[in-house]
Amino acid sequence: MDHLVIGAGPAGLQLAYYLEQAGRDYLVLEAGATPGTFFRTFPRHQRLISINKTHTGCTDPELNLRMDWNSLLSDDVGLRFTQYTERYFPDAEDMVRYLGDFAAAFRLRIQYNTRVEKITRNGSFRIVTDRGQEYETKRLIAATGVSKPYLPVIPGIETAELYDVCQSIFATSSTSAYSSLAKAIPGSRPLTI
Amino acid sequence: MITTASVIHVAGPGSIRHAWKSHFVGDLRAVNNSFLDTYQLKSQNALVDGNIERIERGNGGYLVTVSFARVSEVQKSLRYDRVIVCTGFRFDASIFDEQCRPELVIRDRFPAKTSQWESINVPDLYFAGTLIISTSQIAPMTARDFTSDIASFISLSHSLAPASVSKAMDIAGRNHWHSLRHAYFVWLLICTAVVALGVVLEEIKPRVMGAIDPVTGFRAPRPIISVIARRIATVGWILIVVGVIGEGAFEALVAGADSHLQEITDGALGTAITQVGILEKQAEGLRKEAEDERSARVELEASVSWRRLTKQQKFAIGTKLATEYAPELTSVWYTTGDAEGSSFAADIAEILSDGKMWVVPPLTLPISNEESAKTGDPIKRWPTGVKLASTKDVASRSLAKVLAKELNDRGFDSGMDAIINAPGLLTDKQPSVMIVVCPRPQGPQGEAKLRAEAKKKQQATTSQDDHH
Repeated sequence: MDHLVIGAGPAGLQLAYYLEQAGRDYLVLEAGATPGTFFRTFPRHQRLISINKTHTGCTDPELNLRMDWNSLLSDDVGLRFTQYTERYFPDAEDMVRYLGDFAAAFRLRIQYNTRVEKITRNGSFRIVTDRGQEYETKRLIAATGVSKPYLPVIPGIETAELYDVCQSIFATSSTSAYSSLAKAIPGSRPLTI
Repeated sequence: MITTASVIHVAGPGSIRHAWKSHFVGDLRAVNNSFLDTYQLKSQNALVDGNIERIERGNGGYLVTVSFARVSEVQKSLRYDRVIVCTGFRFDASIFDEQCRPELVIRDRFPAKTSQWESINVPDLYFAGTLIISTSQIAPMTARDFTSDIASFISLSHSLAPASVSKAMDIAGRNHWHSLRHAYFVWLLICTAVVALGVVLEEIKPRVMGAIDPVTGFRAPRPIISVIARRIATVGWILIVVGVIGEGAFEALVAGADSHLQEITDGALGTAITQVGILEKQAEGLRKEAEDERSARVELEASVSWRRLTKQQKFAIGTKLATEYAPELTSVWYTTGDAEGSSFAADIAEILSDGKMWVVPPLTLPISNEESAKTGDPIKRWPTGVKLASTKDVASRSLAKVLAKELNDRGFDSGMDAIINAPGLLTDKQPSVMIVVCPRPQGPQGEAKLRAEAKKKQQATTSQDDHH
């Protein structure tokens, strides 16, 4: 294989789109069941801060794309994130939906539920997945994002609640993301690091 | 949390950078800064600008020691009900084998890359997305971090201050000897010129004595001139003698000055070599510190990582259950909003499916401890770990117990505990097992827990040996 991309998030999909358009030999490996699974958990409050400018007062698609912080580039002007929601700060779930549609629309070569476990190199890269498959590729593109929590080394930090598993101050059902966002026990004293 | 919490502190080691000022989207965006109003307008909440020294848990709360950034050497211990760690993410380079592991930057959080977004040490490995945006945007910050690192490094290394003094003295000494050597050399030149003049004068004598007559072979006599010529020749001889002595003396002085200069150069070289040695030692220390921090972080991450079963573990447990209990109706549950729990629930469902059970795919269980909570109530925590319940028949009870044991043996806290009344779910008409994946327990789980326990045991035996 010429190009192997790890991760089917926005970056992985965008690369896959251009590799597909150019007729290249490529494959995307994705650990989750759909594209953009990071957004199913993060941000924990499920509200994106990348603005969704649906109304620009302009019909020029180039300018509209310049104001659009979420869409991926493609020839299909109908496949823009602005068509998915009116919310200025959109729900993360809308992003997951959009990325799924994007991958399907262009029949991008993505293998889901496949986590890369080990990468070795002997001339070309050799990739082993958790399903026991092996791939060999000349070029490897890491589009994994920053997937591990970063923890400063502070004595006792492991006794605190971590952002990724922290309970109850975050609502995760996107429909209620606004109403029940961030509730603390009444009168309690929380510290956020 | 603003609506219900009494006091919220947000702590971090650096001052806040606003995205509206820095134009970097990774800095604090205005959409998220409504909290700042509650600080600036004195509504009990606060930003704590400082380093967190330690976090101690006990008595249903936390004691957090902070050293304040703007007040030197002031430490304070503050009490909190909850401590929530939101310190960001990092790139996971652990999947790369050592021979092709990309170098990392910014406290090992991002891959180091060229302007072509290629790894600086692994050719043909490229980065895309967040990995590029963050690093190119954070680059100025890195530079600043570097500068401050170097500044503190310099101020900390005491050996550099005397070194700079001695260097200044070296420069002064060198200048002194340089100017002396210059003066000696000028005198040497003058002496040489005197010798040359002497030779010329001495040479005048035969010429002014008159030409030799070719016939008689005698010089034509020029009485007055010949007397003057003889005197000039004598002066010439004296000048030659004085000049040669002077040359000798000043040559010696120049050579002396040269050797002083050489000494200074040698000394400087020696100091430089010592300096390099000291710096290398310090660099080694810093490298070791970085390495220690890295391994501490690896240990830390292992102790807080998401619960996950490997393919082999799932298969091993599944096969064991299949031979004795399959098929049996099982259902897996996790608490609403618990992403980690949902992923572990999926792992357990896969065990059961490997074990040829009838599995109801993971469903959410809306449990909450907030509804009845009032101000001043003690902080209640969610039950944690995996809780199993079954119908009363022997097979179901045994299946639940075996599964709990298998999970416990692999370091995942599990136990028989019906944490929820589920009328209709567990009826004796249909034997079944219910598995509820509650939030992750505090402290290490899985491999990390087994490792920690083994270590504790080893320490206990060692101390016992010491005692004897």
